[in-house]
Formats: sequence, C-alpha cells, structure tokens
Amino acid sequence: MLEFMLNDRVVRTSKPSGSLLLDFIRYDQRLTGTKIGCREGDCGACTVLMGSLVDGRLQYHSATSCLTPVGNAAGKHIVTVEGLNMDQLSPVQQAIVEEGGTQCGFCTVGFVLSLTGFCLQADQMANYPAAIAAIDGNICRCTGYKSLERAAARLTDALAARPNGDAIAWLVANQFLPEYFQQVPDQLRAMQPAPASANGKPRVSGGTDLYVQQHDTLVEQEVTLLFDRPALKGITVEDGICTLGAQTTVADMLHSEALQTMFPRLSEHLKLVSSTPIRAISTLGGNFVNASPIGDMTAFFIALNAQLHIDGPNGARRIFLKNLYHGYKTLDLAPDELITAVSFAVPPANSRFNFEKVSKRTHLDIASVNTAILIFMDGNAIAEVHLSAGGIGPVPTFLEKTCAWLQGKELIAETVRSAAEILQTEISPISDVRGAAAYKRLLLRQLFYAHFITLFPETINLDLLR
Amino acid sequence: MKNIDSNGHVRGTSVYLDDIPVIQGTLFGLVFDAPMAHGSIEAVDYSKAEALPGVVRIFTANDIPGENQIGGIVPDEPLFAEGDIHFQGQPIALIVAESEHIAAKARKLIDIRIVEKPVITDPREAQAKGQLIIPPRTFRLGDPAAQWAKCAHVFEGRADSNGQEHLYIETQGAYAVPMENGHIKIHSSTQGPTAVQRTAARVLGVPMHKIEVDVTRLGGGFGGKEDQATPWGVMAALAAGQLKRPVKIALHRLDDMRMTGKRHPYSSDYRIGLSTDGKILAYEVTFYQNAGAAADLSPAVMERTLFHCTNAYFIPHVTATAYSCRTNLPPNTAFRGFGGPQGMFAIEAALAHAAREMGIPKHLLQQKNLLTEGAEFPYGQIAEGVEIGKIWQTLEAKFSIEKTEKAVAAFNNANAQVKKGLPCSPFASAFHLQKHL
Repeated sequence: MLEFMLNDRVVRTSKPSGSLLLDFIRYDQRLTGTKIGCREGDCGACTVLMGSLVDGRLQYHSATSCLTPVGNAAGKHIVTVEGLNMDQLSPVQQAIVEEGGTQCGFCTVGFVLSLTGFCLQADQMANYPAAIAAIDGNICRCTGYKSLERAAARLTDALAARPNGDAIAWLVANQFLPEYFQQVPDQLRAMQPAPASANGKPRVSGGTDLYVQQHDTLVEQEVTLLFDRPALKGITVEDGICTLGAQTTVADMLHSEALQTMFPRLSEHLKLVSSTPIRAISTLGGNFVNASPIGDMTAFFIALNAQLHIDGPNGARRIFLKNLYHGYKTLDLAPDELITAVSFAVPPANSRFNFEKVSKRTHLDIASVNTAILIFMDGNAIAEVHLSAGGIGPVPTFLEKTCAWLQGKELIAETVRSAAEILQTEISPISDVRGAAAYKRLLLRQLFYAHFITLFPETINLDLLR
Repeated sequence: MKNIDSNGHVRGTSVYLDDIPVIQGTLFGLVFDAPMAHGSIEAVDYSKAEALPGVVRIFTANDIPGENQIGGIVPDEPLFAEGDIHFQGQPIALIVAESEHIAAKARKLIDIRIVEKPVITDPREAQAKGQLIIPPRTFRLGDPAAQWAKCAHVFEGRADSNGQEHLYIETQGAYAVPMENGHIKIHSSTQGPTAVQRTAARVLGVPMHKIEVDVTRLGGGFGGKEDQATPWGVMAALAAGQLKRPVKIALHRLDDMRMTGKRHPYSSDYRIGLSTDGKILAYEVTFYQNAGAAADLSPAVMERTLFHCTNAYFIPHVTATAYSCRTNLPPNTAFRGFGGPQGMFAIEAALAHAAREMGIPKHLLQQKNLLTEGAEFPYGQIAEGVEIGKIWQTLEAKFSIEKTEKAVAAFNNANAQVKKGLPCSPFASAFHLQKHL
C-alpha cells in the first residue's frame, strides 16, 4: 500500500508502484486539471509539484507526472491545480488571466504549477530569470510566450515583498496557496514510511528515460524504487574527493554550493540538460546505466575521470565510468549489482572544465553531440586532459588518443587544430534523426574548439583556429 | 480583450475531450497503421490480437456499411486502407478493447505482409511522373515573357520551405456515444464539426441527422484539426454504432505525429526582372506543393498560395503556376496561413536574391514596390483603400530599418561566434478579398 498526500488529503493506493502518477491523478482520482500532452516529459502539460521535508522544512519542486512512478510519490505531498484553487484566483492564476497568457488553455495548468513552484523556491531565487527558468519545461503553442513572460514578470514584482524565511506562511497569507499548506509538514511526519521494495523487480530511479522506452511493461508491475533511498543520496567533499550518491538529481547538483564553487559555470552547463521538472527527478545513476550514447551527465562525469561505486552480492568494487560501457547498451555491471555513488577528485586550481552540447532545440532536447573537457595546465603547457564526447559512437566515449596526444603540448592554436584532426580518427558517428555523420563530425570539431575558446580566451580564438 | 474561458483554464476546470466523464461500459480504440510508406497489402493476420483477453473487436474496411471514403474536396482517401497503402501511418484498422493499454498490446500482435512499392517524397519528382492531386492552376497578369529583354536585371533561383508539425498540445481524439433510435453523438476535438458529421454519415451509411457532433473546445488546432480530426470521429462512431457501446479514441502523441499531415513543404522556382531603379517589372513563379498521399485540403491551400504570390507588392507582369503533387507522405493539411506563407516566401526569396546581386538593401526594394491604390493583383482584383505605404512609413519613422541594420552590422563585426540578422517583410492578407472572386 502506497500512502501520500494528494492536495489537501492523504490518499492510499494498492496500484502497482510502477504505474504512473499521471494516470493515478487523472483516472483514479479524476483530477482532470492535469493534462496529457506527450507522455514523454517534453510538453509540461502534466506538471505537478512534489513536496517533501528536507531538514524539517517543506521543499517543493516541479515534476512531469507522466514519467513519475506512483511509488516515487510515497510519503510526499503531490500538488495539482485542484490543490491550488481557492475561491479567488491566486496571484499566479490572476497574472496569467490578466496578461492574456491563456488561449486554448490546454498547457495553462502546467504553467500555473511551474510558476507556483517558482513562488515556492528559496528566497534568493525570486527574480525574473528564475521565473522564466521555472517554465522552461512548459510548451505553449498559442501565445508565443510573450504574455506568459509578462505574467512571470508581474509575479516577480509581487514576490519582492516576500520576506526571507518561511515562504509558505507568507504565500498562504497572500493567497498564493490555500491554508492547508501550513498543516502539510505535520501530516507528512505522521505518514507511514514507504514500503521496502521487493528485490528482483525492475529498478527505477527517476524514470525519466525508462518510461519513454518501457512504458507498456513498467506500468503494470511492482518496481524496485531507488529514488528516495537515503543511502543513495547526498553530495560530500572529503580529502579532495567529491562523492555524489547515485540517486543525486541534476537539480541537486545545481543547488550544491560545493559543486557551484568547483564549477563556476555549472548553472550554464546544466541549463543545457533537459528542463526544470526533468532535472528535479533525473538521477546520475539512472543516466549512467541508461547508457545512452548521448547521456549528458555521462559525458560530464567521464571528463571528470569519475569512478563508480558498485555494490553487489560479491561485495563492493569501483570502476572508472569511462570503462562502464563495452558496447551499445552493454555494461560492465551484473544484473544484481547496483551503482551506489560516483566520485571524482576535486579539480585543482591549475585545471579548467567545460561542457558543450548542441541539439536541434537549444533547450529540452536530446543532444546531437555533447562533449566535456577537464584540462590541467603547467604554465603554458598542457599537463593532462580528460575529454569525453557523446553522439559520435555507440557509447559515451573517452577520447583517449586525443588526450594522450595533447599531453605535454604547448597551448597554441596549432595544437588545438592538430588535436581536432586526431579526434576525427577515434570517433564513428552514424547518420540518424539527430544529424548526418559528417555533420556530427563537424559539430564535435567545433565544440572541441569551443572548449578552448571558452577556457583560454586570452590565447585561443575562432580566427586563430580557422 | 479577455478570453471568456480564462478562469476555467487557469483553474483546470475547462473540459477537453479526455476530461469528459467516462460512461460505464466505454471501450477504447487504437489505430493500427501502415508500417511503411508505399506498398500493397498481401495479408494481415489479426488472429493473435483478437485472441488477447480484453480485445472486443478489430474494425477494418470490410466492416464499413457505407462508403470507405473520407476525402472532403476530392474523394481519394479511404478511412481504412484496402489493397494499397500510400503513406507510413495510414490507418488500416481500429482495435477496440476494454482499455487503451490492452489495445496497445494487441497492436503489437498484428502481423502484416506488404509488398513494397517505390516511394516518392519529392514533389518535383511526383510532378514529373504526373502524380498530381488536381490539374495545375495558373494566375496571369500582363505578359512576363515579353518583359525580360526590357529588364535591367533578371534573377532566377529556387526557394524551398519545409513542413511543420502543428503540435496542438491536446492530441487528436473523439468520443462516440450511441443514442436512441440509432443516433450517434460524437464528442470531437475538431475545427470542422460539419466535416465530422458529413463524413461519419457517409461512412456509416446513415443520413446526417442521425449524427450529432459536439465540440466544447479544442486544446489547440492551428489547422491540424480542420480536416484531420475527422477520421478519429468517424472511427469512434463506426465502432460505437456497431458495438452499441461508447468508444473513445485519444491518440498517443507519437501516433498523432506519425499519422497526421503537417504544413505543406513547397519547392518553388522564381524568375524576377527589375528596372535599374529597382522596380519589379516581371515575375514568374512555379510552386511544387508537397500534398502528401491524398488531397485533404491541398487544392484550397494551393489556391491561397497563388493569391499570395506577389505578397504586398504591385508587379505589372506575372505568371504564377502551382502543382499539387501527390507523394507518399501523410496528407498535408491546413496550418496557420493556409498556403499563404509559402507563396510569400518565394517572392521574398526572389527580392532577397535581387537585393544581394544589385548591392542594395532589401528593404529599399520592398518599399519601392509596395502596393498602391488601384493596383491589380494577378487574379484580377483591384486594390482599394491601400494603406501599406503609410504603414511602412510609420514603422520606418518609429524603428528606422537603416539604423537597426547598421547596429546589426556593427554587432556582427564585433562578434565572431554570435551573429544577428534583421528580418523585415510586409504582409498582404487575401482572406478578406474573397468576396471579389
């Protein structure tokens, strides 16, 4: 039996833990404000808010209910539009109405949820760019977005009056949220813990890609839930080693001060990775074992020369992430083994890191080609390089030859140009829906150049590389 | 101006097709479609699918009491393919089951054998092989052939504009409910309720008054639900009528994108002649419209392309010819602008070409050739109450195209990796002109 709060009341269900939250909301509970647009996490019409207690404080994030197993709702507060409606329109609803931000209305509820999620965010984020970022997972085909941007701006102004501290009390007092939100923490505390999952069943983390691939079989069964296991969560830095639990989400990374310090442009990098509601539920472990040739976080961590911590019946072991893949979707991982964490050495002061990605759409799209680089300098010489790329072969690839060749070379344009030629000898892109093979080769060359132009603007620029 | 539905929309209380309370005993339909673009069906084995518990019945062309025909303008499109398939995603059968989930499982159990035939996706190839939806049409004004020698500049080129998916966020769907006396009520997410009613009556072989179509609202349409909402409504009505149970079809996004048509891709050849001072003296254009495998609304879309072929300019000598070309793609359909953008794109491409070759800014060529009072369109209408010259001057005074272009050039000189551009185009709508035709 799964138990969670749905809007203002506690619900229990005996549905299979692998069935979808979206279907439970719409068809079991008949809360039809949450819409079905794509069932692939692309359109945001099914956006809900998921709240849980973090260090005693209620925190919410948006999520696509079409990719969320109902098991991942256990013990949480799930908010749909019906749980936001009051006698009067909330300021979020009012802003959308008054700015003409709704036409056909089908995507509208998703925007209401995402913008309410923005209002619930930590204090320092209540600015206009953050409001726009909060709706980066919502597609609207009628308005052209300008009216919705005006609604976001209006909300940003309204939130300027919000004091630091308990956002929920203020949001309730100002009719952003119904009163019952004040009682949610106590109700969550009184809730039964989520049942331990049966072993041997399919394992699901956030489900963001798994439900796109295996929807028909997963929705029928009990699954082994990994997402909320405390032992698989958390980001720590100890003795120069940063360790992230395998169920760390991309959003967790984004909110980690330690990682923001290590990678000053982290927000920029991760903005290229899916959308706000997906980042909140997509996990590192899931990304690695999914073994997509274009997994963004896989490319990111291969370049950090990261190690995987693996647990199994024969004990624990560690391997380098770059050695996880033997071939297309073939892993050095037994079925009864589990990735528990990923760790890497904190990049030293003489190193620089960059991540690049090109997809058909700038945001919320699968990469045509992605690549990351970690480069250590010794004066003007390249001491060590870790370069990865996706979309250029059957697996996310560590570009060994290029890295070896670059070692010890002087950092000048000629070096970068020559390395780009070596790069071409160790990739094997195929032509597919994301681009022709020749285009992907060109893309990787340009993105490789972009690494150096971005990291060493004082030495390398586009004109020198032409 | 406020959308009167706004409050319901932001509260999530507005009712769309999939939100209609489901009547007890409702069955769910899922379409089985062609797995390839062109071929003849040798055999389809439904036995394994039919044997799956929860599958109630599978409807094919053999189950149609009336006509297996849904073509609105030209009767060239069956509801369910018989014999030959003409595009990937063409409906072949409707699986009706106790749940959508069961229907999806059943679909995987259908075996089909198809002998493949050559596939055409290029409209020029279709035209060369005589594969036309309707005979070509030509609009003429003056005599361009006699003008080329008098032109200081003549430029020829090709302009291609590609397709576009509507992506209405609410996918296609319909919910048919059997009523008294053999009547059927169809809830449909359609822009064309009459098309659904007329076509359902035709396929079911009943008078139109026996079919009621109810449209509360659509979660987006953009032209994509003008003609192409019809098949799902008709299929649901067919199944509901024969099974005497309500039948709902709500397409999965991937099915919708695979089975339905898009904006028409066009490939066009232009020839434009100008005087030394940039006046357009003659224009010839040939449009190859990629209609897809059936007429749908393509003939009307093609006409609108011709109406817009000179956009907001006066050109004294024009020949514009359009071919609606049959290819093995899903039938392309209405989409915001209805062929107009494709017509305007060719003349704008020709002007851009001329401006580049003549070394003068395009906006000067555009301004010089704007419609004037009393000018004649290539379809014979005389322009009255022309305001475009004044509009252009007002905008010029407000935004200064030249100043903005200079700022763009300065930015582009200063930035190697990021570039800007300034698009600028007038637009003449032919929609309000139809009373003259």
